Amino acid sequence: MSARRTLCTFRLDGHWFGVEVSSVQEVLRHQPVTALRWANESVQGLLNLRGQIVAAVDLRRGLGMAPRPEGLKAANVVVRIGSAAVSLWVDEVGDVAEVDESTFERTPATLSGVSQYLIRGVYKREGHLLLALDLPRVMSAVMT
Amino acid sequence: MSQQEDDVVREFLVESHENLDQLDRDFVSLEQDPESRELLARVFRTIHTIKGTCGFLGFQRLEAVAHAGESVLHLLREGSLKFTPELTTALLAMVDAVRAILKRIEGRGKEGKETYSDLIAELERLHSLAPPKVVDPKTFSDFAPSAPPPTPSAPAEPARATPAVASTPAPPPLPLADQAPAAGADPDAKPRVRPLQQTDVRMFDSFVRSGRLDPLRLAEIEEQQRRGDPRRMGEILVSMGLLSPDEVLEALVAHEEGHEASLSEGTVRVDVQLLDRLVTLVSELVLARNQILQYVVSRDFDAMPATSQRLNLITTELQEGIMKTRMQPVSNLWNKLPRLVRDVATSCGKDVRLEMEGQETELDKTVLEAIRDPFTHLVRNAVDHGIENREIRVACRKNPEGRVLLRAYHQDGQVCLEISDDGAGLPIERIRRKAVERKLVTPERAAQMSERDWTRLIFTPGFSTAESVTSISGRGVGMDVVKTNIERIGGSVDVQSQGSVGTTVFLKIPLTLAIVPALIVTDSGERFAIPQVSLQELLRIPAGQVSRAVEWVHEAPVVRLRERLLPLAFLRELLNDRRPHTPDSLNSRDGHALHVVVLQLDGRTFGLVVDEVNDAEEIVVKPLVEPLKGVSMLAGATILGDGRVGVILDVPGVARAAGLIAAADRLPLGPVLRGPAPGKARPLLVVEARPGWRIGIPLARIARLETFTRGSIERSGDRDVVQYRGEIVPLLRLTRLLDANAPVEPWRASIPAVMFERGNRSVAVAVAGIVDIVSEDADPQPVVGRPGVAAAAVLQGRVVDLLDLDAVLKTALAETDLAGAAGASS
Repeated sequence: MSARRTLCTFRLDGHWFGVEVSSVQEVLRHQPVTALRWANESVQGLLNLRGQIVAAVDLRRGLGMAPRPEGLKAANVVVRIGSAAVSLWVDEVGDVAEVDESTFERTPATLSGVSQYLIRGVYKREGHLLLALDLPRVMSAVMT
Repeated sequence: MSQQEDDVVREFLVESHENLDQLDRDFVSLEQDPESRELLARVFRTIHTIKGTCGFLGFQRLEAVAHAGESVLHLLREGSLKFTPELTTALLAMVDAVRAILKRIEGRGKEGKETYSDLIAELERLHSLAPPKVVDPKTFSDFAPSAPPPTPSAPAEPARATPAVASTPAPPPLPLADQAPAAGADPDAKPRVRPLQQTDVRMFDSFVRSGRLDPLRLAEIEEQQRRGDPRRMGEILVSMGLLSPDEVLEALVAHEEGHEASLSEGTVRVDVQLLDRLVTLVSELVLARNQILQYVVSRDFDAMPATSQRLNLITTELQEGIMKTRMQPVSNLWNKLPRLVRDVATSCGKDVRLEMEGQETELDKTVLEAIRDPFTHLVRNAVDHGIENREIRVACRKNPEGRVLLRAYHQDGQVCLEISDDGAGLPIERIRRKAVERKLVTPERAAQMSERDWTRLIFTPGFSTAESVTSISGRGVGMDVVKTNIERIGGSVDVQSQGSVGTTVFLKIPLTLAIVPALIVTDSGERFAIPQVSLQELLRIPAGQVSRAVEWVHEAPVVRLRERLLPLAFLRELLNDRRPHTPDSLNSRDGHALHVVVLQLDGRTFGLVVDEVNDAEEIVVKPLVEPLKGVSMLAGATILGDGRVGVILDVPGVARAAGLIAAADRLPLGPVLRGPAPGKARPLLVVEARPGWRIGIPLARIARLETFTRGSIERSGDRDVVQYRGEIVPLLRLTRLLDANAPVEPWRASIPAVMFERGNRSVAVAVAGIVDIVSEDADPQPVVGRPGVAAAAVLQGRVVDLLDLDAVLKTALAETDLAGAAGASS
């Protein structure tokens, strides 16, 4: 029996993504942000998380996807590594899923550019693929 | 049991740290005033308390060290020993030893292996120096506290030839049996305190405390590491020649052993009365909350206004109270300085007296922590480099004892700190020579810099780090770091120096960093906070008047504010990095009123145009999140009344983004020419005095441009005057102002003129033509021997003389005055 992982899943432009559930601090509905796009391209704005200020980052932009259609409000997946927290904007939050390491495969080499770098690999699940984000890389890409 | 004992040990540690700081101070004062019974009694009590408590807690080494010290102090108290520098040094070494052991206990709950046998031997030797009749060598094995004066018995041991304590070599390792109790083999037998988090830099703390290392150097190295220097701090220190490899090794061992982390720095003592008041306020707060919840449940909001008002009061008082718990007297920082001054002064063979004024001035704890290193650095500098050697002082007929004065006081809601010494002052000549040599200043600039500009040069980054400069001037090591550190917390630094009288460094520090009064404005749909420190006034230009009120100096929009031109910057355009407005694009805004926030920065003012001015609010400053750090226009973030995040604008950053100050302008190089401090690119109005002769006039000094007709010129006495806005204004020819012998040409039909204002009087200067507005980006060459011309520069490929406006206006006005007086008398 191989190792299992628990991932928090969410949807982006029709694809399912997952991040380690242990690094997810909380999941929130759409929150108003203070827009700051002029200050930093990747940062959508700032969010007040009970007195703590957290930057909101649109994963669609981060992964080079088409912009979110009008009317679709982003949900927040607040992730934390060490003391740094970031709110990731996703289209829709899914279940917490247990995946089997045996279903894991590295990203195909045909994947291009940014996403090749930011996606750790793929879990083959029934009916769909679950793309595992490389959270430390996402964070460091955002932080600089 | 473990938890309880933990608490006891913690309390002991915190208390002992405070006691040790007090001891440092008392010993230094005792050295100056050896007769003070009171001080001696206090010192004795303190050591005695430490000794007693550690005996109780089972710290044997600590007890042994403290006991040796106590025995010597006992003789001092009796008067059979007298204070000598040697004795003070040994006692201070004892305090250091106690402190080191405490650190180790704090870190690992163990005393460590060091036995301080040499120190104890030295103390014993000093003890034995007392007249034999009083001494009982048994006191060293006898731990009875404050025993009655020992009965005379055996004669003292002959003084041993132990070397001075200051540079104690490591003691020989102890037999294992001896280590067993301290090694914590049985965890229950020894109280343990969990190690706190610590950083690399803490490892070298002991060197900083002993004055061996400059804390700012450590800060520099840290910065270097952050910028990617892969070496460890120890390696860098050795490579810089600041420490020997042995010393680094020693620090490493001590670090591993003791985990130097300070418990006492993480605690604050709060007055019980204040705490009681806070508790009362919190219970009031809970009551108010309960009432409001009640209103919500019962949907009866009649009493809501009263409750919310009460809530408002409670919160305000609570906020003030909580802030008070963070306030600490500046003496908390200064207390460590007498020892430092003594150590530094002794090591360079000087006599220095440290005086303090305003120790009770209070500062926020975080601010106090932030200024600790820069301040210590400045005091070290004052002793090390400011004050001359005794011989030189005697030769200069100064008091052989140097004086360093620290002052603290509140002013304009800020805390002012001063460090002055009565030393030789800054070596201006050498600064000048080195600065020119190192091309920090061009010779042309150098010729025009005042003494004050030169002294400020010590804050220039390139200046201080250069070894060649520091070795000759001494001063200025890390002064730029001091400046950066102080500015980082919103403070400012200035220096004044007078040859052979001394140097004073002024620091201005905000009271607190956590809460600042700010003006909230809206732009592009988001709200921004502008710290009120830089706010001067608010200006509203009503709708429909915008295109008239905003005038254009070439591409730069300005408004007249009390007859002075105020340059405008538009926040929206700055944020979107768009081109500034043109007259046309601004006209489209004519339907809306223009809100101008007048800001001032380093004595210059500019207007920031925003969509809306909301309110003044006290905001809680939160640090910026990682990806936004370093965005130049942002100083921080805050949470506004409705729970949304607002960003705090960084006024210097905004001014830079708007091009109002150039980056190079931050160098305190002072004005190149007389007149307002120029940026690198100072806008100049270029006019022609007569065809082909171009003159540049600083735009900021010009009130208006006008065109007069020949018919409007009247004569008053032998002067040409015009009527202008109900005033009689003299009309002068620029050619004649620059050259008194120039031929007087007849007026042409239309006469362009530049209007100047001086005091409340206007002068019109007629020119042949207005050419252009250009940025002065070439370095002007000073011109000598031509009255009215300060310098010449090549602008847009042509030579332009730069007007010495002050001189010209002075002559112009003097002439009119003479004419006026003549006219009145005739």
